[in-house]
Amino acid sequence: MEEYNEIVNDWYVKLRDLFLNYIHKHIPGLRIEDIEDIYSETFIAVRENMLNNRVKEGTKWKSYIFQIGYNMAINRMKQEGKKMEIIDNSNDDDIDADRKFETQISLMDLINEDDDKEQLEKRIETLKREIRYLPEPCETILKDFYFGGFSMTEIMYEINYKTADSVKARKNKCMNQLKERVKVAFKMLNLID
Amino acid sequence: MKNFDNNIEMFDAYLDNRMSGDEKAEFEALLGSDKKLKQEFKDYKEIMFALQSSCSDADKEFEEALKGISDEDMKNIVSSKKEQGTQTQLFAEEKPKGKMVPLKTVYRWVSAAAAVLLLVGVGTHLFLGRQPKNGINTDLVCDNVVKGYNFSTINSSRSSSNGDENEYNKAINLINDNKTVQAIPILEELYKNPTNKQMRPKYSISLANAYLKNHDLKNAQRIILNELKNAQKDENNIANLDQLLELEEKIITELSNELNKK
Repeated sequence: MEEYNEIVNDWYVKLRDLFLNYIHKHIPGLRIEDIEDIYSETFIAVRENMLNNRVKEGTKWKSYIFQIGYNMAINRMKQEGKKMEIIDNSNDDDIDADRKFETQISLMDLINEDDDKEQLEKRIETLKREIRYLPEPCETILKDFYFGGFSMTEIMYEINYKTADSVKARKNKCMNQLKERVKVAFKMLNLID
Repeated sequence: MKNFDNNIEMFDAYLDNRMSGDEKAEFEALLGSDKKLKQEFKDYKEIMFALQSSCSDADKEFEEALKGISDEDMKNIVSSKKEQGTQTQLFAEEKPKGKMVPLKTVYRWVSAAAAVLLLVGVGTHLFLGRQPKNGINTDLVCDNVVKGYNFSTINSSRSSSNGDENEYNKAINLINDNKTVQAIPILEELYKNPTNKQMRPKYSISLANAYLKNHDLKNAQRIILNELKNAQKDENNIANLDQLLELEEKIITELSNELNKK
C-alpha cells in the first residue's frame, strides 16, 4: 500500500507544474488557484473513471490526465460564465508543430537475421536504465512526443518554451545526448565494438 | 527526397509514415548502401523501443497503484500538495533560448539531475573498472576536465575567517604548488567535517577537482555523486548543483570524446 501511495504521489508531483502550465497557456482566463483545484479534481476523477471501468485498456495516463483536466477547465469556465478565451497556437502553415508521433515500435522491428537476441535484450535493458534518469526537459519532451501523443505545440505549453520549433530543436538535442550516453554505457558493458 | 534538418527528423518521418512512396523508397535504398546510416537507424529504433517500453511500464505501474490506493490516501495526496502549492509562485517568467522555466518544485529538478548523474557516475565507475580492456586514457580525460578550473583561496580578511578557511587555503596553495597529493587529505577532512556546513559545497568542488588533477577519476566521481545526494536533501545546496552538473558534463563529454577516438 505504501508503495502505491508513493507511485501515485510521484505522478501527482511530477505532472503538477506541467499541467498547470499547459492549462494556463491554453485557457489564460482561469486563475492559477482554479487550475490547482482542477488538477486535484482531475486526479480524483481519473481514479474514479478507472475504478468504474470507464477508461480504455492501454490508455496513456499522462495524456488522459491532461485531457480530463482540459475538459474540466473548459467546464469550469462555462460554469463561471467567463468569456472563453482559448489559445490555440496551432498554425496551418506549420504542420510539424501540431503533428503527433503515432508509431509504436515493437521488439520484432528490432530483430533481424544477424542480431544476437541476447545482446539485443541487454542493450534494451541498458537503454531503459538510461532513460529512467533522463534529465528535464528531455524526459518530458521525449516521452511526451514519442509515447504520449503530444504535439510540439502542446509540449511547448507544458514546459513554457516560446516556440514549437525550439522544442523540436531541443528534442533532437536530447536525443543526441541520450545516444551519446547510451554509447558510453554500451561500450562500458562491451555491448558494442 | 525532402531535405531534413537532420537524421532524427528523417527517421521520425519514415517511421511515422510521413514520407511519400518515392521518398520511402529512396530512404530504404540509402539504408541499403550506407552502413553508417543503417546502424544509426537501428540505434534510433532501439532507443525508441526502450523509450516507449519504459513509458508503457510506468503506465502499468501507475494504473496498478491507482487501483490499489485507498480513497483516504488519494485525498491526502491531492489535498496536501494543494496546500503546499498555493504558498509559492507557480509561473516564473520564460527564459530565453528555450530553457525550461524553473518549476516551483526545485526539488524535482534536483532529484532528476542527481539521478542522471548518479547513473552516469555508476556508469563511469563501471567504465573505469574496465579501463585496460577499453584502453581509454583517463589521465587525459582528467587533465582536460580540470584545466579550466581555478583553484583559488578564500579571502581570509573577512571576520568570518576561521580555522577551516586557513586549512582550506593551505590545501589550495599546496595544489597550486603541484603538491596535490598532500592537499587531498586536508580537503577530505574539511569536506567530511566542516565547521561551517555552508562551506561544504565549496569544499566538495575543490576536492573533486583536486582528485581530477591527481588523475583519480573514481574518487572525483565519488565526491560529485555524494554531494548531489546531499543537494537533494538540502535546498540551500542548489546553487552548488550547477557547478557539479557542469563538472560531470565535462567528464562525460571527455569520456565520450575518448571513446569516439577508438
